Amino acid sequence: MRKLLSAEIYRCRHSLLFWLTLFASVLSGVFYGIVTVSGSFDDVYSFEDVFVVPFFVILAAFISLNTGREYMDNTIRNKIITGTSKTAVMFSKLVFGVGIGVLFCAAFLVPCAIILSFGGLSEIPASVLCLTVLGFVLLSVVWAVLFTVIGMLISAKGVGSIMNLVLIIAVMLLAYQLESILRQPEFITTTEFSQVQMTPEEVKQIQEGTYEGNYSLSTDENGQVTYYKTVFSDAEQTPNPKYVKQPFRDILAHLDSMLPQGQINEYASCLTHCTYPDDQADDTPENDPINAYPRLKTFPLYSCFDILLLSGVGLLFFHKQEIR
Amino acid sequence: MNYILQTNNLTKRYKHFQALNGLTMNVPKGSVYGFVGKNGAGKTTLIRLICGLQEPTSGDFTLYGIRSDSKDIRKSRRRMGAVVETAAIYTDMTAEENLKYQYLLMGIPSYQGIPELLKLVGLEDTGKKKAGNFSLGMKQRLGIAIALAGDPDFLVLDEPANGLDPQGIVEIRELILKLNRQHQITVLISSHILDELSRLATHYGIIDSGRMVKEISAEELEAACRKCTRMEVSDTAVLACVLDSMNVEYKIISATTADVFSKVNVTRLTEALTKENCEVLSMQEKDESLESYYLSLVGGGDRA
Repeated sequence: MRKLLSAEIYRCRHSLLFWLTLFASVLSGVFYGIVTVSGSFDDVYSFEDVFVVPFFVILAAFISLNTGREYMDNTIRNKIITGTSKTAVMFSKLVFGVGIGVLFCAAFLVPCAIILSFGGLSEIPASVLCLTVLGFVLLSVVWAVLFTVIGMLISAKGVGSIMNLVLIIAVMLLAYQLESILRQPEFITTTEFSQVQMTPEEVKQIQEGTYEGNYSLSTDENGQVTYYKTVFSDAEQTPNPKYVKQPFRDILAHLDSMLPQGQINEYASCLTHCTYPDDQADDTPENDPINAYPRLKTFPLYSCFDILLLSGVGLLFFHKQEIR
Repeated sequence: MNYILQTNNLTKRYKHFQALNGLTMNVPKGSVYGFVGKNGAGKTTLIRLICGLQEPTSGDFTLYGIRSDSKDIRKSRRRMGAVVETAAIYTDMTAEENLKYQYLLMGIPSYQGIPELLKLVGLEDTGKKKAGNFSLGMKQRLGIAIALAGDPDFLVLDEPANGLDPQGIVEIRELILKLNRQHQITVLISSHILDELSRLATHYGIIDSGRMVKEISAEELEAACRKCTRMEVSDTAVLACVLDSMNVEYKIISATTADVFSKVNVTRLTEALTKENCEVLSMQEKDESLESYYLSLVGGGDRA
């Protein structure tokens, strides 16, 4: 294993692709930091899609092309001919993928953190920051392992690269869909309202401009104006048909936690909650953001599970693969 | 005899296609074994199996006495080098970098042997030129250099002269002969260029439709393809007596047919046979090449 990794590191050092994609990761982090600090991006909800997803695309590009080259140049044969088992070859590729994931993540985060330290980080508690950084590093590793498995199991370099890019988009769309489903409330409140004629005192308030509330007016044939106020009354709460019940709700929640984009969405929501405390879409306590987003503490475990699952699948299928 | 590689009823099936069908062969130590067969005969499939790239459907092989299903087979593979189909080289690295990569892969601590290896294959002057810019012959030679990186004593080359120009073929041939004669490396070469193999091989294995048709040494092949005169007479027993009296080498094929290997005075022979009441029915010059011998074994009718 050590020999395989030494050889991979040597190859990386002489690979123009490696240095280009590493530089692209640094640029991506710099750009993310600058835009965050300057606050020049208005649409908070698609911020991560625009600035974080490209980082994963860069990661996919390097791993797909680097692994695909092994099949294109047939150099994967050399490893097996020298007496290395397929399991060892795949395992070394996975370890290398983990290393690349951490390295590229560091290349993204370090310049980003340096820039954010000038103004973007002060509102964020240390606990949230540490959890987010750990989560992001683990997510980079999850993606790196997935791209490595795809690259090793699909010998056609072009097909593997396209599949990795499609997976990023597919996971993103799936995560958004799951989030939309899980955010559905259990009950829908239907509101009834009626129009009631206003009292003279209320009409006087309208004329003085001090009346607060909804009102309307109508003019009859004789030109007489009548003011009506809108009175709302709560009707009985009805069950939401789009609400997913147990145990499927738990299954979908677990699936959302397993998806990298599902985690990114939650991290982004928590960071937004810290950075823009008045901009709260739901009733959450202000004192500890992590309590408001309890799933954050479990995400590292889900990422580790993803890494183990993908690695196991990769090792199993590559062992049976016939090398031409 | 000491064998480096022995296969025992090796079979390989790909879905609906039988690539190898009970192949049994023996590669003697120190030989240049020419593995001959037409396209699709199973040559590359066999090489993939012994290199560990694929698993056989049934049967087994032994490499340096270790069975293919043993855990130690990987240790045996460390003593061999192979170039399967095309040379496996990183096209974005130089020749030296490719060899350094291979040295790291094999855990060889020092790069000292690299200049000598490059000189052996004639690539010592490539400098910083990327392997992707090499000619086909240079790529083949670099592939052989990579295969030699671990100092193997068994080299497997799958159609090494494929796509090479005449000079490239000569260079590869001379390299193989040098490796075998000076470095005592056993070489297994698969090829369908019979003329080229005939200048190299000490042993031949002729394969067709996944089966070994014949294994033969170069000496035996030379004897089988030897130039002679085929005579058809009324009684070969009489012919044998006459030829013995003339000290002429011959071989009786049947009761009426014999091959005469030495040059003989036809008039004297015919007169001597006539005295013994033996009729000469026909005389034909026979000179079988490796090509005609191969075609006689595997049949060339389907290409007519």
